[in-house]
Amino acid sequence: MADSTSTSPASGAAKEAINKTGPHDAAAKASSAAGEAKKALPKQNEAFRMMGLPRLRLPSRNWSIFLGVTGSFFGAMFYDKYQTKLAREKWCKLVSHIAEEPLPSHTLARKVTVYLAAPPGDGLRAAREHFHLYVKPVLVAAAMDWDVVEGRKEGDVRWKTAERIRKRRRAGSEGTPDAEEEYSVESIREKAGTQVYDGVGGDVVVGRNTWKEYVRGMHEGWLGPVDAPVVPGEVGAEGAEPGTHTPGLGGVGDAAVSLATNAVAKPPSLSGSTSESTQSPVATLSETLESAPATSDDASPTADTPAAEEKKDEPPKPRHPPPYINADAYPSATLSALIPEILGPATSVPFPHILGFRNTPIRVYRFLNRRRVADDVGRQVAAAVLASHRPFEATVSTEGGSSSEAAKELLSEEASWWKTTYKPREPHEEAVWIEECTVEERLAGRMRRFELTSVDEERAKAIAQGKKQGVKVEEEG
Amino acid sequence: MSQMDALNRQEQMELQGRMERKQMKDFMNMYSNLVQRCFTDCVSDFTSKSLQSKEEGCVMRCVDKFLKSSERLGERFQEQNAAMAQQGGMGGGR
Repeated sequence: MADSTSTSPASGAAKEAINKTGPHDAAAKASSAAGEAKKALPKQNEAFRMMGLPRLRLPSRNWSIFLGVTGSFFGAMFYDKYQTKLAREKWCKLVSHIAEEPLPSHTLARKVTVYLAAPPGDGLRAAREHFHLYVKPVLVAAAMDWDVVEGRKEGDVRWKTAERIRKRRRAGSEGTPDAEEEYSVESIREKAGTQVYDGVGGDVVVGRNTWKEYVRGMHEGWLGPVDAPVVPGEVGAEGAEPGTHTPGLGGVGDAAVSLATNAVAKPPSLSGSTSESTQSPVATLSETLESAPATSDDASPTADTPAAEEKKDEPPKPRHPPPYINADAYPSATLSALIPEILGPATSVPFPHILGFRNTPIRVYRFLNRRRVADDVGRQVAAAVLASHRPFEATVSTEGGSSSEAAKELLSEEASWWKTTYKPREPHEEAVWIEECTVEERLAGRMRRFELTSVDEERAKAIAQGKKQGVKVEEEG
Repeated sequence: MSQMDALNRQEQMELQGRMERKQMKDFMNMYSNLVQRCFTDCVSDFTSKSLQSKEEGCVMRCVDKFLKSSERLGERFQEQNAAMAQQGGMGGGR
C-alpha cells in the first residue's frame, strides 16, 4: 500500500467505527486489522508454498538466546565427550597388540605399580575416578597386571613405598630378616615353578603430590636403614619419637607426641638436627597444649594430657612411624648394595584438580576440555605399557646446585593446590607435599622415565587419522 | 602338617581315602565340564556323523585352552588360599 493512502483506510475504519453500531463494529475492526496484518507479512517462499510447508517462523529473541546458550554448551560437551572417547580408543588401540600375545600358563604377566593418592583437599575417590577414566582403559587394553599403592592422607604413599623397598632389601638379606612366612605368595610361586615376568616393571604415579611422596619414599627406602632407627629417648610411650617437626625445614623428622618433644633430651636422630631447629616449634607446641609442662623429662604423655584441651585422651598419633632417614642426611647415607641398575622406570600422570567456588569458570573450562587430559594421560600410560624409557635429564640450576628433571615433574600442578595444603602442620602430620622435592644424585642417575618413541607417536597419529577418515590405516610393525 | 599328626593312623588312612575319592570326583567333574563345553562350542552341524577336520581342530584347541586355564587358575587359587590361610592364622579371626 502506498503511504499516501495509508491514512485513509485508518480514517475510513474510524469513520466506519463511528457510523456502524456494536456487532458490526468489532467485525469491521477485526477485518481491517487483519487486512493490515496480512499485508504486513512477507511473501512466503514460493517453493515452500507449493510443497505445502507452513510459514516458517524464527524463534523470538529470548528463545534464541536460550537455545543459543544451552545449545552451545551441550554442543561443546558432546564434542568433548566424543573426542575423549576417540583419544582413549587411540591409545588403547596402540597397545592392544600386547594383549594378543600368547602367554604360557606358568608365566605371570608383566606387573605395573600404580601410585594413587588423594589430592590435597579432596578424597581418594577423585583420584580413583581419574584413574578409572584415563589410566585403567589403557592398562586393560594391553592386558597388563597392575598393583595400586593408595594413599588417603599425606605420607601414606611415602610410607608404603619405603616399606616395599625395605621389604625387598630384607628379602635380599639386609638387616634383620622378616618373620618367616610359611605360605607367602612368593614361596608358593617358587614351589609351583611359576615364572615371574622378566623385564622392567614400571611405576605410574598419578599427581604431583603422589610424585613427591614417591620420590621421598624411594630415597628413604634405598638410602635409609632397613630397620627402624632406635632412638634412646623412647620409653615405650606410644609411638613417641622425640624429634620435632618443622614444616619447610625439609627434613626434620615428624613429632609423634608433642609433649615428649618439649623437654626430652634431643637424641641423635639420623637427621643430625641441631637443637636450634627444635627450639622454634616448642613455643608453638606449648601453645597448642595449654598444660604442657616445661620440665617433663620422659614424662609419660598420658599423665599430663587429660588436662589438655583435647577431647581425646592422648594427642593424636601419627599415622606411620617417622621416616627412617631425612632429606638432609641423603648425601651422607650409604646406598644399599641391592639397588638395581634401573630404578623401576616411572612415569607421572597429570592429575588436574582444582577446588573452590570461585574457580568454577576454570572448572567449567576444564570440564569442556577433558579430551586434552585424556590424550596426555593416555600417552604417558601407553609409554609405560610399551616400556620405552630414557634417563632423567639433569639440569643445573642457577643457584649452583644441580637438580634433576625428576624433581620438577608436574610442578605446575602445585599452583592449583588447595590453600589448606600450606597451613602449618600439626605435630602428628607429615609435610611431604610442601617440602622441596629433593632427588639425590645417586638415585637420579638410576631413575628412568617412560617416554613414547617417535615411531609409536607416528603410529598413534596414524590410528587417530585412520579413524577420522573412516579408512582403516594399517599399523606398521 | 601338624594337623595330620593329631590324627591316629586309622583316621589318617580314612582321610587319605576320602581325599582320593574327592580328587577323583573333581577330576570327573572337570572332564564332564570340558566335554560339554567343547562339544557345545565346537560342534553344531549334525548333517554328518563324523567329525570334520575343523571341528577336530576346534576340539583339540578347546581341550588345550581349558586345561591351561585351569592350571593357571589353580595356581592363582593356591596362592590366594595360602595368603588367606596365613592372614587368618595371624589375624586370629576378626
